[in-house]
Amino acid sequence: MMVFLAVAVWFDIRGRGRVHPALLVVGLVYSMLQILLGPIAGSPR
Amino acid sequence: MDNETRHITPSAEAWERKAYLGLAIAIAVTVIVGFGLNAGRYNFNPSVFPAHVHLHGLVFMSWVALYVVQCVVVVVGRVAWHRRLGVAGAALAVMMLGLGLYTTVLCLQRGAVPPFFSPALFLVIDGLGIIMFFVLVAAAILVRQRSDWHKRLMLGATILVTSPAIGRILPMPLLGPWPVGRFTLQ
Repeated sequence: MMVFLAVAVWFDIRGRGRVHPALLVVGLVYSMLQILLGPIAGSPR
Repeated sequence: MDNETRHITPSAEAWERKAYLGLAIAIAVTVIVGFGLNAGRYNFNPSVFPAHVHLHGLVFMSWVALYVVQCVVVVVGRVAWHRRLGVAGAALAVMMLGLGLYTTVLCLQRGAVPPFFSPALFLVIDGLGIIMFFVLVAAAILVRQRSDWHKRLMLGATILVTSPAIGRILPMPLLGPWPVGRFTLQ
């Protein structure tokens, strides 16, 4: 997933010279999911 | 025209549209390869799956196909078609939310959770993933007048629903208990 997002970030840097805020929002959503999943992934079954 | 769109030239914007089409095709290929590998690996027999699983697969694949078509339509400049197809996309997103949650819960009920996931993790990964997909699609529809925001939020939403296909490409059982939560979202 992060590979696709990284490609979109590269598109922004190539075309606009900076990352569009919408991609930062998407990155924030993904990070939030990671933070929420972290403790569950580490918990015993 | 918003502040972000003013930063790029028309030719750069045209390049960006084509680049997003390329990314859409890469996502579609990933989904086809992921589920294709899975079918080949486990001697796929469609008759063993309940009807709602087939419907779930059909609706989610339709989203990926529609995403590619929408990118093509934008590249060829048929914005009116894009808007008309967008209505179908919104309806598909609602169906995906319902079917995604329903299929996840029923998978738990019939014990069809992959062995490398705990039931709690499976529920949270799939449940939160589809809810966040719907939130990103809803946000993209709300800002549809701002094409720069719209295309990026739609991309973010579509990437989220590719994680089951990516999970079928990665050797998940070999990744151990710690990376499961991480790799399914990467």
